[in-house]
Amino acid sequence: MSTNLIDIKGLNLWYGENQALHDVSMSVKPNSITALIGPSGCGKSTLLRSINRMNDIIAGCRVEGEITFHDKNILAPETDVMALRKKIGMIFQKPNPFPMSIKDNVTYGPRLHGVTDRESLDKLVEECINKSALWSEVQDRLGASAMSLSGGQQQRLCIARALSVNPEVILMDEPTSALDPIATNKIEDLAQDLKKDYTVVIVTHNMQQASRISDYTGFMYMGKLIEFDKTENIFENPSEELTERYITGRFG
Amino acid sequence: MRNKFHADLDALTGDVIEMGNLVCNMLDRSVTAFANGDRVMADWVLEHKDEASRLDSLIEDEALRLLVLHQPMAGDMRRIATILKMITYIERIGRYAKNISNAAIDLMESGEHKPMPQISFMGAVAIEMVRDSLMAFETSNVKLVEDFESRDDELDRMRYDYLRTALAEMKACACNVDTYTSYLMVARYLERCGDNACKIAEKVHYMVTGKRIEIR
Ligand SMILES: Nc1ncnc2c1ncn2[C@@H]1O[C@H](COP(=O)(O)OP(=O)(O)OP(=O)(O)O)[C@@H](O)[C@H]1O
Ligand SMILES: [Mg+2]
Repeated sequence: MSTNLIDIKGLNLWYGENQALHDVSMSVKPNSITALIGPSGCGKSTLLRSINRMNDIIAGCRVEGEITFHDKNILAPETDVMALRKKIGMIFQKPNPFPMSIKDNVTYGPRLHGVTDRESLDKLVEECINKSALWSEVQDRLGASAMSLSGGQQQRLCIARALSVNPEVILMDEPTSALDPIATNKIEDLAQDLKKDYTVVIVTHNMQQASRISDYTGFMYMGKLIEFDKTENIFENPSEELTERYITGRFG
Repeated sequence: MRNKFHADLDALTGDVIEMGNLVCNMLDRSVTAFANGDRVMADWVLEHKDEASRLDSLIEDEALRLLVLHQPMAGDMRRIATILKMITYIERIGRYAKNISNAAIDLMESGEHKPMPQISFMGAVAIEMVRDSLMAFETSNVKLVEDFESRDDELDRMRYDYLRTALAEMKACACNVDTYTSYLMVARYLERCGDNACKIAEKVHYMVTGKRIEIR
């Protein structure tokens, strides 16, 4: 048994002829926040999407290598992808609440998975919205449309929705890039709180954000994972010249 | 790629080098003033003390400004952290140079000054350490400070030698007490300059390698 929740080994990924990931190996410790940084197009989102097999839906995408989750290779054909995505949820750059009520956004997943009991659904709504630090702002209007929320609130609702199916890992792809500093702050605090019960992998273009909230940081460049280390090492004293140049803004 | 921040950081580095050179000259001249009873040298040091303080505050303000505005990372962060500590050590060395010059002036004014070339030997070791620590900063070359531990030992040993000589002279004639008391004070200041050079060396080592070391 490994102490890592996720182990990525020798991952190669192609979009058609184009290789987007080159021999990426990295591991994710449980109850930690792992940040992925790197210039645009380096493969951060691609790597993140590999972890819950979201790349499957992209035509022409081909993967080699191994990603183990609880020591089982999730790239194996027999993997139940629906069950996997329940365990490994995803938050996107642009908040994407469903066009329904706040409450229904949270109960949607559980109902899909067969929970019908009203009382447990109500409890779940409060629990998840509480965990995503949104409860005090919406408890009086759970029936209102999710679209009436601010961008920052919508993003926290999406996190509540992700939590509703009881995941272990939450993948976040630039979750705050569309938000103002205050809303960003809330999401960052929330990510720190979530660490108690979940494992978070976050892609961000904001280096200060990576250094503020993450425990481990990976720096990617042209489809390769150049350096992966404890966050403080990456930002205080990176081992690779490329990493140093990128994070000190001497790139290109 | 170069941007405004890196240009500002280079300029800040230049200011630290300027402050370092100034204080090095102050120390060098204060030792000459004391060893040879040279009033012109002593006065020069006292006249430049304010310039060192001015650079100290200027560099501190600019370093804090860069920290706040740019939240630098990695090597840039280590450079600014190093500069913020270094200027305190450089400033202290400047203060010792001032003290040595004042001691020289006191002796000259009381008519008690005797030439004491021995102190220049100790001065040379201390000044060389200060100079090398600053050169290590300027060139990011930590080789220059590799042997600081043994150089610092050498300073301690010299001070101890002077102590024995001074005690003997004081015992031989009470007329020597004033002279050798300041002689010992100056030896003490020079030893402290060596300690501060070691502190600078430790910080520069951190800046260059990212590793913290302790020189003794
Ligand atoms: N669906 C796709 N089909 C074909 N190529 C793709 C697809 N998605 C990404 N790519 C390519 O894969 C490479 C990595 O893209 P990816 O989106 O993973 O980068 P990223 O690091 O997330 O960039 P950004 O910071 O801009 O979001 C790029 O060259 C991109 O053009
Ligand atoms: Mg992306």
